Formats: sequence, C-alpha cells, structure tokens
Amino acid sequence: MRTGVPRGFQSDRIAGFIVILTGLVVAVEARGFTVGFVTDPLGPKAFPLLAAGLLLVGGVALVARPLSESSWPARQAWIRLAVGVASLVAYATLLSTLGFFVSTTSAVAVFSLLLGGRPLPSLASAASISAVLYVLFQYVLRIALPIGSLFLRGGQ
Amino acid sequence: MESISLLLDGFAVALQPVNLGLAFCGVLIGTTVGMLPGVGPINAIAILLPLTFATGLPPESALIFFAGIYYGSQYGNSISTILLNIPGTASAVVTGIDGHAMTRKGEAASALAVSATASFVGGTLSALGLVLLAPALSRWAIKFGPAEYFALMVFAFSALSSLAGGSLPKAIAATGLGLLLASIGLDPQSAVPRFTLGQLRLLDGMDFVVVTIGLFAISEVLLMLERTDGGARSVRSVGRVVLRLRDLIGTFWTMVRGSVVGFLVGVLPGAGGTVASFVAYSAEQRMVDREGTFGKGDARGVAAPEAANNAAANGAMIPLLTLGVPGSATTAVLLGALMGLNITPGPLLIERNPEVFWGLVASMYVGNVILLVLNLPLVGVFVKVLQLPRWILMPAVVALSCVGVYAVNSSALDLVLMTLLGFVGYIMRKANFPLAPVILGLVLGPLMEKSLRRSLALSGGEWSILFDSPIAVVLWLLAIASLLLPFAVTIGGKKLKSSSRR
Repeated sequence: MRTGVPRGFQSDRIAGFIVILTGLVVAVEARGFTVGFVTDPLGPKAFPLLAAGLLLVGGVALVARPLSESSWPARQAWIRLAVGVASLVAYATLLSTLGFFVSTTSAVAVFSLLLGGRPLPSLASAASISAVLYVLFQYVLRIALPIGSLFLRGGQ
Repeated sequence: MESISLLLDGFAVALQPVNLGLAFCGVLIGTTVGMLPGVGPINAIAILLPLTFATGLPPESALIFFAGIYYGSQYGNSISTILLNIPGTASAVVTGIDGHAMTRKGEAASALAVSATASFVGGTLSALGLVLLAPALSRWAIKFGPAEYFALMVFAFSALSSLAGGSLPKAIAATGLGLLLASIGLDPQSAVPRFTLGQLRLLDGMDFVVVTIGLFAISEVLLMLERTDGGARSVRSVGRVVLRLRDLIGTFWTMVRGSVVGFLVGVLPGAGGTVASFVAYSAEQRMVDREGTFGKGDARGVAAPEAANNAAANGAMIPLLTLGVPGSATTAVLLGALMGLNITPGPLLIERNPEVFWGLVASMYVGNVILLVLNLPLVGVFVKVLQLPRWILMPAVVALSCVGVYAVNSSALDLVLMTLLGFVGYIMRKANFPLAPVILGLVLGPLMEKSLRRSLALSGGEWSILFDSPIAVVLWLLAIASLLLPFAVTIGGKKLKSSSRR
C-alpha cells in the first residue's frame, strides 16, 4: 500500500531511487581504482567518487522531497519505443555485414512506419535519405562507410 | 578605442567570402531546424559537428557556422512559436503569448516582421555592449591557478543548475551523471582504466558527439514515437511579411529596452535567453501595459522578449568564452564544439584568440543582417517546411544521427552507446531532468578533475588551497549565492505567471 505517499509524486521517487542506485554502483566501482605507486594525493578514484556523491545527494533529495509527476506513455507507445530502440541496436550490430545502404534504409524505414508513414512511401523516403547520405559521406566528405561484408566475395 | 579596431578586424574575418557563406548557410540551416519541432539547434549542431571537423575548417570559421545555426534557430523558433504556438525551446515561450495571439487576430505577418526587427535591434545593441565590456574583461584576465579554475567550474555548474530553472536535486543528479560520463576511460594521470566494462573502445572515453546526439537527437525521436498522428500540421498561409512603419514606431523603444535587459541578463553566467525573455516581457508589461493589451496580441509583447533573447545570445558569449559557463543546453553544446576545435574558454581567451572572439561578434552582426534581409521574404518558404510530415523528418534525423556518430570513430559500439544514451535521455526528459548539466559535466569534467588534482598535488594534499586566494573565495561565494538565488526569485516568477494568465 502506498500509505501516506501522495500518488502524484511516485515517478520522482522511483527516479530518485534509480539515481541513488547508480550512485552506489559508481561509488563501489570507483573504490577499486587504485594504483600501486603514488601519482598525486587524490589518485584516480576521487573524481568518480565526487560524481557518485552528486548522484547520491540528488537522489536522496529527490526521494525525500519529490516535486513533480511525469506522464508515462501507454502500452502501445512502449511497444513502438521498444521496436525503435531494437532497430537501432540491430543497426549497430548488422552495419558491417549488411553495409551502410541496406542497414540505413531498413532502420530509417522502420522509424517511418512507426511514425505513421505508409509502407511504400516510407521505403522510398528511407532509400533516398540513405543514398544522399552515402554520396555525401563517401564522396564529398571522404569518410569511408561500410560496404557490407555480405556483398564482398572472399571477405576482402 | 582598441576594442573598436579589434571589432573591425573581426568584421574583416566575418566578411571573408568563406565565412560569409558559412554564416549564411548556418543562419539558413538554423532557421529551418529552429522552426521544426523536434530537430532544434542542439541536434543540428551535434549532428553537424563531425561533418565540420571532417572538413578541417579553421576554428573561427567553424565557430561562425555554429553561431549562425544558433541565432538562426532562435528566429526559426520564433516562427513556429508565432504561427503554431509550438515553442521549440523555453526561451520562446513568452514570445508565444502575444505572438500567437496576433496570429489568431490575423496579424501573423506583422508579428513575424516585429520579431525579426526586434532580433536585429537586440543583436546590434548587444554587439555594441560587447565592444564596451570586453576591454574591462581583458584587464580582469589575471592568471588563474588550478584552484581558481576548480572554483570557477564549480560556479559554472551551480549557476547552470540553479538559473536554468527546474528542480535542483535533478540538476545535481544530472551533473553527477555528466561527471561520471567524463571519467569513463583511461585516467590520464595514473593510466587506470575507469568504467570501461572491459571494452577497448571505451579506454578513449565517451565521445562528446555520441553523448550529445544520443541524449538530444535520439531521445527526441523516441519522444516522437509516443504519438501516432503522423500527419503534418496545418498552417494558414501568411502572406507577404513586411514591416509596417506603424509597428516599428510603436515598438522601437520596447526593442531598445528589451535589448538592454537581455544583454545584462545574458552576461550573467548561467542565465540565458529564457531568463532574459521572461524578465524583459514582465518588465515591459509593468512599464507600458496601461490598457491591459499584453497577452491579447500586443506587438510590444513580441518585441520585448525577441530583442532580449537575441541580445542575451550575444551577451552570453562573454561568460561562455571567458568563463566556460553556458546559459543553456545549446550554448553547452557550443562549448563542447569549442573544445573540439582546441579552443579552451577562459579568462585569457579574448587576449589570446582575439580573431575568434571578435570574429564571432562581427559574424553575429552579419548574421543578424542576413536574417533581416533574407528571412522576411522567405517566411513563406519556411512555412512550407513546417508542413513536412513527421514520418519523413524524424527518420531523417535518425539517419543523420547514425551516420554522424559512425563518422567519428567508425565504431559500431558508439552506435550502441548512442542508442543507450538516447533511451536514458528519453527517461530523463519524461521525468523532467535537465540535460544541459550532463553535457556541461562531460565537457568540463576532465578539466575540472585535472585542476582539482593539480591543486592538491601543489599543496601536498591540503584542501585549504582551494580557498586560499581571494578570486577563489569570490567564486565559491558566487557558487553558493547562485544556488540560493532560485529561492529568492521564486516570488518574482510566481508574479509573472499570474500576470501573464490574465
């Protein structure tokens, strides 16, 4: 039961607890940053401990005095968010295999569909965006983008 | 006066064809992105950072380009605020009160013209202000030791955390997160790997571009995924935007007053365009609103915050470049861009890199002129851009983000980190955490740690060195004062809110 806690401030409290938890993990981890020899009076752990301290202070203050409520999305929206995040992770994983053009077109098309675009126009706009970026980076700025190991024979 | 000749040198820099072209492109890109809800100047600068580094532009040219995006976006932001009442950033919220009311009365063209003119007046007067103020600052530029630098950076954090508004605990936690991100990687002094999770790539630390694009651009796209209505917004056509003499006469002194207020607020470390526009609007309202027309489409209600906002953008260059204290998330990103160009902001910057400082001031002025002569006739085109459907626009932001992040290190792990930070940024935004302190922590963290450890190495571990010099003591006091300030200002803020509701 949430007795005595104003329901409106739940998300600030939860956020506070997450911040505290992060601070604790950082602090525990930072205590292990030691060197055998003395480089300077503070050493490598002081600054991460300061960061942990700020996280703990902010988190505790938030749990003690939560200030606002946030409106969290409905379940449908969470699914779209999950698909979006997953497609970005898949993009990172498959980029070197599928190459820039195929991966970017697919990822961008997924986002177009998620944002309410119809299938064919989404694919068309995704392909044109990817093509423009490919030309811009590969030929104008001369930053090499992956061609895709799948399309290269013998792995070269 | 010496500063006038330096300013003329600055104009010589800004008027070079390359820089003029860059200012033009920057202003144009800035106006476009500033207008599009969800893109915004931060994302534009973050995405364009790797591109600019790749082209190998000299620092002052790159800076002119970014500054062009910055103030172009302020104007673009005004367009979407006035026409659609969607302020992209907090600094345009006040403009919307009377600006959108004018649109509903069918005076959109007039409101846009007043806003452009007010921005121009604000830019002009604040450039003059910089000429007057900079020499005094150069004289003040004494040698800062590591202890003073540390105190200065503590002040930067407390100023940004408290003056940017919002909840202080959340700002403190966000600062902690920024410092945590800054300490990832190999510790430069002892070569101890910190928070690298066994990943070789992380030994180099978190890249600024990855963090900024993740936190801002990707989180913005994730926010957009919440809503399903994929269509474009309907905007009534605006017609020709010309400044009528009647509007100019009626608002001229408002613009001048707004500029002065905006410049003074902008010079305060940590207070940016948001504070400036609020203060200017409420001051103007108290001063001239005798018939109670403010809030019902009074052109002066547009002129005051717009002039103040632009003047503050100029004034804010002083704390940004000389102290490294940004007044908003956008200027925090601008600060990161500066560091990427090997320009370390500090008390000596005006002395050591006059071409950067004065070139920037002059280019802001040139940018203002470009905005005035170019954007007024082009408003119709910009309105068309506003009608671009979200299912084309936001996926394009995703593609630009991915390719921008990949271009930095050609690393797939960076893309994963970008996604992770995008999700963290999304949660932080939903829970009303400010993102600017994270960026500031990441940008200033390494410098802050170095000065802290160097000062304690100098003193042999005595913490008292941090409070030894008068400058350091003053900075510590300022840091404490800025943390206490919101409690004093709350009363004034409540006054404004209740009066604008009328």
